[in-house]
Amino acid sequence: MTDLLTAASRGSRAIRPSGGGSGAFRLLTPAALYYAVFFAIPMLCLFVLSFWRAQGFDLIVDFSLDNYWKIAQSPVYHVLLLRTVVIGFITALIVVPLAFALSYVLHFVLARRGQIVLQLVLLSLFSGYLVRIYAWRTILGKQGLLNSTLMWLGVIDSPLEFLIYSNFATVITLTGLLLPLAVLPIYSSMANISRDHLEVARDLGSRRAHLVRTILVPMALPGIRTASAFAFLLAAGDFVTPSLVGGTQGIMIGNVIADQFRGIGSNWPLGGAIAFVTMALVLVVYFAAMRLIRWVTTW
Amino acid sequence: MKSAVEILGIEKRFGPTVAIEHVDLAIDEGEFLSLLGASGCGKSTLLRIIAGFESPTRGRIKIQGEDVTGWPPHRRPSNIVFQRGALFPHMNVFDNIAYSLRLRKWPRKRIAEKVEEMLALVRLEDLGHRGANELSGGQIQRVALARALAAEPRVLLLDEPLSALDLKLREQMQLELRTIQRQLGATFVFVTHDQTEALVMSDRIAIMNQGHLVQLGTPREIYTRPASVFASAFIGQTNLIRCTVAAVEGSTVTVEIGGQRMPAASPASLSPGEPATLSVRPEAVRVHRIGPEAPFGIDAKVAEIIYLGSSIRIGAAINGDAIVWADLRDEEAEGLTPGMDVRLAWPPTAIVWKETSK
Repeated sequence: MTDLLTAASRGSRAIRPSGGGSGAFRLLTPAALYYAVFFAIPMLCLFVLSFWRAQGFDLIVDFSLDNYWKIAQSPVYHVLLLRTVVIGFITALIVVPLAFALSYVLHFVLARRGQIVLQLVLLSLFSGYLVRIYAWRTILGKQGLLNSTLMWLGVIDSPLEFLIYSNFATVITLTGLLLPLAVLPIYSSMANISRDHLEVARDLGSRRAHLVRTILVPMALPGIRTASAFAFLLAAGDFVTPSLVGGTQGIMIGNVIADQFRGIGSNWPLGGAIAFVTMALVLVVYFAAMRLIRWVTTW
Repeated sequence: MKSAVEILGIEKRFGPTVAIEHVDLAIDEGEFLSLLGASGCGKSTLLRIIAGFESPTRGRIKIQGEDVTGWPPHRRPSNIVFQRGALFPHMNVFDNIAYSLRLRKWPRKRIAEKVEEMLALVRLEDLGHRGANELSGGQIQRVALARALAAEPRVLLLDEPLSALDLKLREQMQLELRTIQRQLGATFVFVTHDQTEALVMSDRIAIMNQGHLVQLGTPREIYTRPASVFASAFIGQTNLIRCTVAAVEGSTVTVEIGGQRMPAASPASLSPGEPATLSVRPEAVRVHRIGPEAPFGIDAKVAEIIYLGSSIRIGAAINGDAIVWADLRDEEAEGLTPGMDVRLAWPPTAIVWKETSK
């Protein structure tokens, strides 16, 4: 009995969130282990690999900056990197405000009914990634839903060419894919904002843009940060969408990286180097954008 | 005296349900007025209409003579404090209080001075840098109050701001709030469901029931001269005794309770033979031993003796049926035991109501 009690009290002390010491960290072990085995170690291997050389189908152990030098020198990579970052950035710039507005409506306008709509939004995630990209193809295609509707309405005479196989198509499709993912974190952090907060702010003289900037965005900031990460990082890293709807001029850096790891012209060390350059660039842009949001929303 | 707030024929419907049915009320400059009523009586809705969060279905709202009926909250010279404070959690205490001042683009130095002044007013001088999440319940309400008062409202609206606090703190905050209101000479409109709170703090109390304003008066008027059975039962404690009207003579009525007669006062016209309700406060009821010196009254039998500390509550049954409660001082209750025959007496100012009146 006494043993049980001391064990129980030790256990309860261990899982206390603050000052829990080693006990709290023990709970992190499974996740940490998973990340180490399936994320950190492969990343490390890839990083090491990026300093090697490829000769035919052989990998030669080396320590050379040749791969990085190649990226720095070749304008093709610059264009691709720039396009990737810009497309990711524009997608996030569309997705996050949309998700924010949607979350606002779900939480404050629809209130309890918002839960049902949220479930419907999440339901779209069940339809699968490729299915949804193809769905967008049927909407945006030359004889797609959008073009034929517009032509039937007489708004246009011939199909709009830019709707499919373009950067436009990539951004629209990525927006559709990522919106549900971005709604989740923003909606859940908006749940901490009560109607009272909004009413007090309005009562004190705030409204519209000022209310959004000083109350809504700062209070939902954790969710906005997560949503921005989802939208930007996933859009910038995607290579299936550009290859299906982006057309020949629409390929992104992800396509090039993928090509380095499969097929005939593969070059794993170069692929690794491009991957790390991309990652560094994307992270820099992401953190800069986060700083900007913080700066804009200080009251 | 000039009115700070005029509520003119306000009516509010939410679809088919009526929240407020034609309320007229003028709140004086510098007055502490409480809107008192049970939950769902329309008091909070009325406050929200004054604040501008709800628009009335009918009627006008004037603040200091100006018709503000269609105005949004941010344009009205009123500010509100909610039950749960609703502090902005991403700001510290200072920034919360300074919110409206920064919006008005006050110079930095003037803001700092005003915030200091407000912090001193609510006695939180050293807490300016504390995060909004690091405060106790009482501190949260003080900061919410300071934040609303910093905006220099003509009228401060308080929506049950003390209800979430525990009793001891609530009692202390009641007095503090009263002191602050006197010190500023400001107009406060205070919504509460707690009749003690309303009695302690208010200059006047407006009692609401089912969307109606049922009585308006000073705490003393409302306590001693309730306008209805509802008001008499809602404010303080009271005995409601079923009786029959035996005789009517002007405003004095004789009623029959269990075959015995007592005089009482009636605000409404009653006719003999009519069933009625007699309302008498426990502290007005005296309990006498049966004997030659016992005054005129109603005979009953002691059924319950409850010790309340500052007083003793006696429950006496008339004809073994209706129990009348009497609050006595210790020495008055000495020697009373359950089952004892006693005579109950009360002043003829006890009020009789028509059976149907609400």
